[in-house]
Amino acid sequence: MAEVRLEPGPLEPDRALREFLDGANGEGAVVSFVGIARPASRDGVAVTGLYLDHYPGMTEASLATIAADSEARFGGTRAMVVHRYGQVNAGEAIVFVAAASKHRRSAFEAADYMMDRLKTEAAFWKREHRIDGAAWIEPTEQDRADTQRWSEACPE
Amino acid sequence: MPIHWCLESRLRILLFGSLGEQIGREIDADLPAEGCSVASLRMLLAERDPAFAPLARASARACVDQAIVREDYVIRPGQEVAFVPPLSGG
Repeated sequence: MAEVRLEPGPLEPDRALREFLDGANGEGAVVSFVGIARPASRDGVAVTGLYLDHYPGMTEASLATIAADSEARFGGTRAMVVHRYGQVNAGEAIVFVAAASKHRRSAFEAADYMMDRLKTEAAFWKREHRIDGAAWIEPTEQDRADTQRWSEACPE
Repeated sequence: MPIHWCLESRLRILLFGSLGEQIGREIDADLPAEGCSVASLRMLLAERDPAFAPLARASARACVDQAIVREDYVIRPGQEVAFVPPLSGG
């Protein structure tokens, strides 16, 4: 059963990883990923932070679906997703994803799969605070293409 | 005996992202007892207040009980209704 959490405060990846490792169930591989709020926008303008609006209930469900799908797709994989909401300053961790599998390939792929889907399907609305003003942003074409590649072939 | 008094119920509509910022986090509407389609609700709101015009746009997706629904979905009293802009992802 995947562990999924939404957190308003600082996300401490080292603690999240420790917690995930403590839940070990005989897996031989653990892959973790930390996404950090970037200090610049896509077009290079300085960004002080982000505001992530969320829909209580629906947002958690969107994260849980993605984590559960990765566990089902990469058999024997255990998944964890921790995501920030609200104000996130540039340089702070915004998302933590971990996957544990019997062997490394599945763990790498499960983490990659979860991140690609989170980037397009997680129920968040993101406002970027740029030094020249605030703007609501949407997934890029690249984000959509990254998610799409998992529809093309099933590894197992 | 009046037959109108229980014909409408108060519907609370939640708004997120840019819609919440532009219009407010929450608005109310009167919902007929027999319900109302998403498409009709959009028209009703846009006619009531020009500020609600963004809710009539196709990019504002309607959610009922936290799931995205189609335009012909009939909203019933007591359901949770929201309009959301396109997801920005995590």
